Amino acid sequence: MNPLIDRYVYDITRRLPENERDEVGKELKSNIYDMLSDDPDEGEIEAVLYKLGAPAALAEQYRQKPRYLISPAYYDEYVRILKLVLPLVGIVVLAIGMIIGAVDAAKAQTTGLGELAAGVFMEGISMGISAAFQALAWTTIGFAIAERVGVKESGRKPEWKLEDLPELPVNDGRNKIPLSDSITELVVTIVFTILGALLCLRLIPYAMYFSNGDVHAIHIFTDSFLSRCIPAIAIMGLGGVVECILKMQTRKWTPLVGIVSIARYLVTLGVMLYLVNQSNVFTTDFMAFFQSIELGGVSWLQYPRADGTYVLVTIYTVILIVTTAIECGKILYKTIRCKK
Amino acid sequence: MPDNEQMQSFLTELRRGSLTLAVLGCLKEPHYGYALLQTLQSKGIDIEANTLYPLLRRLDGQGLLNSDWDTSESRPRKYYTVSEKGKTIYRELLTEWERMQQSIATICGKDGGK
Repeated sequence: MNPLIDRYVYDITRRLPENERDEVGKELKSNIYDMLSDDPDEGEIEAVLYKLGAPAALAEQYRQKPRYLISPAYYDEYVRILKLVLPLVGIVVLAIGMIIGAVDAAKAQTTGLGELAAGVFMEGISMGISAAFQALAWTTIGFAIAERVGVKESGRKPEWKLEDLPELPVNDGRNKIPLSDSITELVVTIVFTILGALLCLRLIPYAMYFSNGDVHAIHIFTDSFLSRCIPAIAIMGLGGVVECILKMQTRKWTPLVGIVSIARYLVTLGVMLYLVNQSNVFTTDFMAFFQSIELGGVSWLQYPRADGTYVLVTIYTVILIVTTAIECGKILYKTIRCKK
Repeated sequence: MPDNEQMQSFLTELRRGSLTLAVLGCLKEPHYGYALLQTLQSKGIDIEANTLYPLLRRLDGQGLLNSDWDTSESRPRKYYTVSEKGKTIYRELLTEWERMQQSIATICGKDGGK
């Protein structure tokens, strides 16, 4: 099997619908080897490939249903860009919307905290969603136009060189970590770390409201608990950023990426377990509120057991351990599969 | 004076339909892709590999051909023959081809030598 022929065939089949790739690839390889002598040299192979012509043009001939809004030739790129653009635009505009909502509330001299929070979040979420839809629509229109313009151009014989052929993917692509995934993960990690830090430093309003005729505001967590959260958030955020940068560099589930990811999950688990098992987590106000609401008769949720632990804490601990175990298992599986 | 590119596009257009006829005609005998290319070229049909191979796949997909991988030799080869549906279409196309040839002859016959 000659690598140049493999690359040529790959450059054609990657532009075809997935269910046709294997068969067309087999046919093409069979035909190309038939066109060559028994022991061909590089020059002969190159001559035959040049005779067959540009992969893009040949793929166009092979495409049985050329009517697409976005054809397979562009589809991968389309999805990759959407994955990158939608979360970015959504999150950025969400933040802008929240600021606008806050400004509006200030202008209207809103005093009720509940009303203020509702205004800020409603504005943020509605602007974020509509911006994401706008981004989706414009990206699609852009690709559809590129498709139309591109089809016109393929009527002429495009210039091409053998050196332009893409390298074969190392595996079948399942083992890769897409760059767009890592970037999205990085953005989300940074945004949540900053939000978490601001909450703990009480730089943004942090309270829980419930209406009982009046609007009350109570803090959920005690100051001493929040001050312990700051280093924890810093550790988890830093770990997340390091992992994302490593993934962006290697783009594969190498053993190093696997070890760092698992280590980060274990550190996060440790930090979370340490935090939930602290005493003096909730303010007395919140405890009083929690015990005052109806929980459908499940009073055991509300009161500590004989040994002083809360049932909720135990449930949360179990969920944390189980999800961490599942995630670590997945990473282990991906890393081992990548090594094969 | 038409430029070369324009000339080529007229020729391609003129040949396109008759290629199907030639391919169906040849495939009364089973052929694999490259052998069919050689047979067609030896009979004076001007067709390139990059036109024939996708055409075979298209005709196969439309049910005009039967295809089978022969794996008994060192390399697998896909053999094509014309199917029943293909034969019907072939006969109709051939009739139409002959009719058109006569029409063209009566219209352009006197220009034949030029």
